[in-house]
Order: sequence, then C-alpha cells, then structure tokens
Amino acid sequence: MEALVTAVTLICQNDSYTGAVSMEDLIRQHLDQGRTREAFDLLAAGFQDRIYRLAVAIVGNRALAEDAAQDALLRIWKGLAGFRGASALSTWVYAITRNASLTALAGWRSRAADSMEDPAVRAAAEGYALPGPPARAGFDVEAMVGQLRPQYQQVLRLYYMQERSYEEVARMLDLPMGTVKTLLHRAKLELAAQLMGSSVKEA
Amino acid sequence: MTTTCTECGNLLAGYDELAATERARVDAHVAQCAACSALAQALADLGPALGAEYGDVSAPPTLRGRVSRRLSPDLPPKPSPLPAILDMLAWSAVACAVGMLAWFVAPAGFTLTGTMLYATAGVLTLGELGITLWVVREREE
Repeated sequence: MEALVTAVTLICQNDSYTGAVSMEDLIRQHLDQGRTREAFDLLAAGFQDRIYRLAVAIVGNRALAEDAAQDALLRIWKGLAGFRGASALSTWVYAITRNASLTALAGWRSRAADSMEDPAVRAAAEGYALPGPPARAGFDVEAMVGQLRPQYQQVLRLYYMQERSYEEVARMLDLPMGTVKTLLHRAKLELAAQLMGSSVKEA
Repeated sequence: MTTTCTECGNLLAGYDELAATERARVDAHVAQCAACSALAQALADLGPALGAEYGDVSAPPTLRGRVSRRLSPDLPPKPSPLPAILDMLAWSAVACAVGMLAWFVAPAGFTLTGTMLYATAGVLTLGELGITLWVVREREE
C-alpha cells in the first residue's frame, strides 16, 4: 500500500503524466469498492502540495494556509464517498480548497477586526500575518505582494509556486488562461512600480 | 508615460514569452527610454525574488498527521479513561472476592503473613501508578 501511495504521489506530481492508470482511475476503483479511506489516502498524497499552495496563494499566510488545507482535506474526506465524478476530481478538489481558503481568510479577518481594540490581540494578529521566510533579495517580497489586489496576489503566488505554469494556475483558480496571463502581467507591473517607488497607471 | 511606454511596459511584463521581433522592438525602446529602462530593471530584479519566495513551497509535513487525527470514523475508537478505571475497579473487586473466598476455604491454621500483605499492597500500588500515568498520557494527547 505504501509503495502504491508513493507511486501515485510521483504520478500526480508530474502533471504531464498521461499514462494508462491515472490517480483518478485508482481513486474511483477504491470508491467503487467502498474503500473510502484508501481513496482518500491516495488523493491526499497526490494533491496535498497543490492544496496547500492554493491555500497559500489565497490566504497569503502559511500558518493560516495549513489550517485552510486541513479544512479542505477534511471537507474532501466528508464528500469523497459521495463523489461520482460529475466534474474532474481535480476540479472538485480545487473548488473545495478555494472555498476552505476563503472561509479561513474571512474568519481570520473577522476575528482580527473584532479584536483590534485589544493591543495584545493586535500584536498577535500582526504576528500571525507575518510571512514565512524572510526577504532574500533586499526587499520584502511577500509584504509587497500583500499590497496588491487579491486576484493579483493569488495569480502571482500560484504562478511561481506551480513552476510557472499558466495552465495549472488557470485550472486551480478556475480562470481562463488568458485572464491568468493578463492578471500576472499587471501584478508584475504593479510590483515593479512599488519597487521603483512610483505608481504605474494601468493601460 | 506615453502610449509607447505603456505598450512597452505590458510587453516587458511578459518579456520571456515575446517573439524575437517584439523583443527587438522592446529592447530598442528600453535602450533610449530611462523610465522603461528602470521598469525593465525592476522587473528583472523581481523575477528571482519571486522565485525564491514561492518557488519551493510544499505542504508542511505536519499536515497529513493533523488530518489523519481528525478522520475519527476510520480509526479505532479511543478508549476513554473512565471505563478503564471502572474496569480496574471491577477486577479489584473480583480479586477481593477471590481473596475472601480463599480465606473462607483456607485450611485450618492458615494465617495471613506480613509478607503476603506487603506483596498485595505493592501490586495494588504499582497498578494504581500505571493507571495514573496512562490517564495523564491520554489527556496530554
């Protein structure tokens, strides 16, 4: 079983894989035979990185993203037995992850807004919002990205996390590929403008 | 910014994907425009920084464990400390009953020695200690 999970993980990490046995086929086989736990283990092994990255792209904070990814996986677990494939498995997984991430983000903002009067809570919230790794290029990349509008943030983060694949970003955010390119280019221009200390008027 | 600069900016944002002719046009404009040259430099600085920030993000190793612990329906039910204590009390009662029965059916002349008494107390103390440690560990989890 462990070897199978490893194999499927490798298959799933390679998005260009077009072999005869897909992860989705294996998961469906398990589901058809009532082995929900096995199906879930395969799914989690294959998708956990992309679920987490999508959550990071949306919430912009790694600790909160882990909470959102956990919530997404639990929602997937609850719905998996009833999954009958009206859509592709990945489409379903990404939709759940986006919802879980937006829920986590809304909950965090609501809690932060409610308790900002308390200096201790404010300090904790600000600490929670700090990005993971420190700036490595002389400027704080995540702080700059955090200044952009949400859609720009999501596309920009996900594009670099998903090996610069427009196609994968489009699939994960459920956007047309042309839209992803446009959003990414605008996001880069705004970031560059921030870096130059001036603003660039949009075309 | 002139229209040409705006156009140049949009092309610079996707510079890596430009066709050779477009790239040459952008390069020519950048060479004679200070604003677009600064923009090109800023974009060039951003690429590696964004790659370093987001290029190596994967799920933390703790995620799977956190999720697995929540999949309660498929895990064996976790024993509650209370039934275990009741279980131990029940076995103690059985042990007492057996002891009393043994006392009643013991041959004449049998007496409970101090060593037997200490051994019994020792076993009970160790059992109690074990239960306490187990309950504490369960609560910590």
